[in-house]
Amino acid sequence: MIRLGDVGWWAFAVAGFAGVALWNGLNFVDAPVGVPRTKDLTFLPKPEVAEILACGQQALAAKLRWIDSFDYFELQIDLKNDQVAGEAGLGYTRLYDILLGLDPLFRPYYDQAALNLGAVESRHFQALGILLRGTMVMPTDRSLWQQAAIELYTTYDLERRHPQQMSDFLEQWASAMTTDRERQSVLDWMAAMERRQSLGLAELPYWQEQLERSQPGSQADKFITATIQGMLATFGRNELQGLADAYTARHLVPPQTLRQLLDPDLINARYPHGLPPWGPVVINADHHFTLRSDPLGFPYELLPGPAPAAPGASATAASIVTSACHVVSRTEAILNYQRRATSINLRFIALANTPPTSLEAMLAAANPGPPPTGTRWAWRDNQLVLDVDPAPTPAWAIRPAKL
Amino acid sequence: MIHVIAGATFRETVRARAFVLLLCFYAAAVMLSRVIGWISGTDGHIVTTNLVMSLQSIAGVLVAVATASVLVHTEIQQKTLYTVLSRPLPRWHFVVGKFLGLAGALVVGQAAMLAVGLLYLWATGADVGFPLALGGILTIAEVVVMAAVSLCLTALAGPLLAATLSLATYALGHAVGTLPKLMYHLHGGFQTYVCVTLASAVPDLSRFTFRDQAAYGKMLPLGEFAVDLVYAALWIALLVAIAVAVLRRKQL
Repeated sequence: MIRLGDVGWWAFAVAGFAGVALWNGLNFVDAPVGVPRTKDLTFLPKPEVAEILACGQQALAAKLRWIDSFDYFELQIDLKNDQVAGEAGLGYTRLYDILLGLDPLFRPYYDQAALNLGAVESRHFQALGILLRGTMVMPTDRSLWQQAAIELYTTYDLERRHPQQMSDFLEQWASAMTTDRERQSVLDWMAAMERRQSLGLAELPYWQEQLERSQPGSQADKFITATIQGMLATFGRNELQGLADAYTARHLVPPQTLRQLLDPDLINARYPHGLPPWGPVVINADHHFTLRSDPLGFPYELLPGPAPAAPGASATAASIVTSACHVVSRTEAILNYQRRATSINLRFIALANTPPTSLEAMLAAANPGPPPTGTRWAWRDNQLVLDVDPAPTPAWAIRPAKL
Repeated sequence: MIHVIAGATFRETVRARAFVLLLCFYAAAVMLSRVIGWISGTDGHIVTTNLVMSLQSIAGVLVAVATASVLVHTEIQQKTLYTVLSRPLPRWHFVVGKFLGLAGALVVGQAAMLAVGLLYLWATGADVGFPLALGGILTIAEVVVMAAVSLCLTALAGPLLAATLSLATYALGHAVGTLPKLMYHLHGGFQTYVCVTLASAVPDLSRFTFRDQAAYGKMLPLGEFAVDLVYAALWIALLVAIAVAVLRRKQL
């Protein structure tokens, strides 16, 4: 038999539970929609101490620590100071010491360390150290060897400076591989690197490798994609500039339009072994040469006169040689201005007690300069952003499709 | 007589509320483990595997400590102990029987956890192989050692204190494997001897953490696996012997 007193207690319990559930639920109402990009990593003990604190669950503790650090990775892509507990340049070192000490067999740590320490923070010696550590833990992992080889080849220019050391490294890589096919791929990789080096795209495979390992839609994905787009846009512009200079030398007058550069003689002279895969000139369905858009889908443009010097650039032997015309890529300009906007936003978040709250106030305070043609400054989520008109053709698919 | 006491203890333990609740907690946590895999930015299999295998250890140790620390005290409280001890029964039969019953229940519970965990991992597409089974068996050994620790401490202290000390021993037991890497801080001498002596008196539970490598498909040499099981058996025998020695003289 249910007594009145019991009903009262049960009613109180149900109402109380509903109340606290509602209270908890309110936490999610104002939750940020995007990925949070700040994280306090001040508590990062030594690897040995972390091992003790993990109480026998080292791999799990490392994974949870790693997942909890994602916000820090996102922040560092823009901030690039690796500052924890008031000390700059220590966060990643301590974090990866712990992660690799606790759980050395987890591959994503090495990939991310190579990206964060090498590509983002430009501390390539540390990135290389972690990759080489990875090759010792997982000696048959082709990708780790390849990433380390790219660091040695592109960052340290080892092939040119110490060819014997580079050969020794490649030999070690080949001997660590378990099949003839993998051993042959080491030689193929070296040949491909030499071809890319001659095109000025030696770093491309490194970034492609990083892109493949990044999470689609993440801050790292955007950063790497923008880096590759910038690299390819610069490559395309340089190639067209080379063709324009060759045209000027041949005709003694600069070209008026980019279409004039599609002269088969010019193209054959520049590319005797075939068109480069990411170049600005392609062959269309009618078997004619045609111009390709830049990576964001905008056409390359030809402007009269030499290219303006970059602000703050000093005159070098190369910059003294000027062209009668210059090629521009809107992708390069857009990416530069987007980086400028990010830098301004971070500066104001870090410094100002009362950051600007409108576009006009931000433009007055930061003076970012007039944006490139077809773009405009805008104010979104209390941040300065660059709005870009839609490109006439679709942007290149940078991330390879999954087969 | 030992087997009668062991059988009764086994039935009593598997029906205990703490035992069943912690098994339910394990099952619920395993079902949710995939969420951590999703947010890891990888395919999530390794992360989920680590979590599932760690949960087996954590839930198992909690079950072991919760049940072993009240094993004898419940008998005293319910006065059922006197019915047993009034018979011509050596006290060590009682203690060993109780422990064997508890260990049996824990092994069955752990085997169920391992089966549920591996089945879940297999269903979510993770690589489930023999190494994981070996990792799970070593975790079972770890849990039974912890039950023996808890029983031994129960003989020396009350249930609450015994449970607390057991959990501290779990943390210490895992730290023992790491201590050699930190010994350089002591610069030799007296402190080193004290530290080595104290650390040697605690079961080295890091021997049973092969689950971390098993998640990557690494294989443990069977010789090493056998040595680890012998190590566990030695500690269990030692701790139960201490519990017998204390309870034989204790005024119950």
